[in-house]
Amino acid sequence: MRKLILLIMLVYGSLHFSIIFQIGREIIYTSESVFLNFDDTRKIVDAVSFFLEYQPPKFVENKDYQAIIFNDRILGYDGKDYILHDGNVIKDSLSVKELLDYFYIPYVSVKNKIIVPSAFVESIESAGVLITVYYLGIPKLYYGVKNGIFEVFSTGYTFYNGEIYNPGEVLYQIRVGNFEVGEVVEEQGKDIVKLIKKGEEKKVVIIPYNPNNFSLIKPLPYESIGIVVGKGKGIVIVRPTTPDLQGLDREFFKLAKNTGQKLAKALRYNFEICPIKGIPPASSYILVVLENPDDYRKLPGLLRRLSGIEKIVDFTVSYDQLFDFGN
Amino acid sequence: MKRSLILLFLMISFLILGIEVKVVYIDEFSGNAVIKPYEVPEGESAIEVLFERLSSPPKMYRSFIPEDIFRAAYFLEDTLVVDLKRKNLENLGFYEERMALYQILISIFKTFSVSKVYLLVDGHSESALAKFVDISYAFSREDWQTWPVEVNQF
Repeated sequence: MRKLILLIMLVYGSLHFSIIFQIGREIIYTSESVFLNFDDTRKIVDAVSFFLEYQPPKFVENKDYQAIIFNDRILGYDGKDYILHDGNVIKDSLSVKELLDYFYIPYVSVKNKIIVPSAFVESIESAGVLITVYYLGIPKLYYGVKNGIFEVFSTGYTFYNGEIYNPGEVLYQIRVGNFEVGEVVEEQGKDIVKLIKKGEEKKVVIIPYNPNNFSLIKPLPYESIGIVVGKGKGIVIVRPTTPDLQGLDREFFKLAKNTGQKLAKALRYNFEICPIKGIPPASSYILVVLENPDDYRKLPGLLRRLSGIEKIVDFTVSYDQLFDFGN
Repeated sequence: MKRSLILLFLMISFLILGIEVKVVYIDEFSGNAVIKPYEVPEGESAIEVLFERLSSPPKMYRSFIPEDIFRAAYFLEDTLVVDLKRKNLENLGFYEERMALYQILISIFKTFSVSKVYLLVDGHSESALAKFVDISYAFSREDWQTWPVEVNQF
């Protein structure tokens, strides 16, 4: 019943109001006039700042003069005219669109509706099997994998990379192969999506380290191990966990550390815990800096024995071609 | 509000001033990491003293921290953000870069009661401290309490 009343009100509103201002799907302001009075400009700026977690606006009042300071701009009002651009532009009226443009607030216009996105996606970062979406506001996002491509859908109005995405539009894609969305952890200002690939046989993947290109370092099947090799002074390095990933990287760290320690002992190399550029967090990748061609030759057999994983996928090059980390 | 501001100020003062810094060096003979405590002179910043000490090891000890790499530091609740100077880090090799990171992190976690540390270079979050060590994610107290090297080479 409540929904029906709301629907009737919305339809009525759509028919009778000249302007409907929304943040996402929330109606913030309706008016029969296209132009705003100064109190309404305050309400709109306040709502945008509150919903989208902008720095709050400052309101100044001095006798007949009032002003809003927001997003590094000042909008003044002397009781009759609006004062923009430090007094260089005087206007006797101001529309919602002019107000939003002035304060650099993105929006879309749909008939008589002006819609400001409910969330600003600041960045989307992919690391190992984790994809982190950083945002401001209240995101309406859906995460899914279709034909081996991970997609972020906007289910509301979302601003990302300079564009507004409408409900149903895809704002981000990345190829992930046979992975699927396992878990989504919602934290203040970010969603962490964990991809899983339980169906595939576990394996050990050996690839060469290339400081300028990490494209071979891809998400691994569940409980698999990635060995990234270079040459130099013999050492095995595993990436530490980071508090940024809220404990989601713990199980990967445990597997990498366990295998890395065994490998280091077998090769008589030092074992270290250090984040190396290109080795992603939340992955069981291990950097092995090989000391000589003999150790390189015996690496696949050693890994098979130490990890108990039969399948070894070897993408490596000759020892001479390995990246040299120096001593 | 006023009371919590005073408390915060006292906490920051305690964290920055009037404490002992614990500095990690490498023993030249054994190669082991050792911790040396130093009093912070009155009125001086603990974090600045820590970096000064890190780059000037006493006799018989080694340090991989170049001189004058400290730029600024900020405490945000339980997090310490340390900003370093790029030009003095550029020449670190793979080994030196790793050792420098270990010295910095363990000295910080032994000295300050923060639970997270972020490292910046020239005011920005960077993918590497010099060339190879990734500093784009936070470091946790949990992982950086002990020297992260297990020796298997004899």
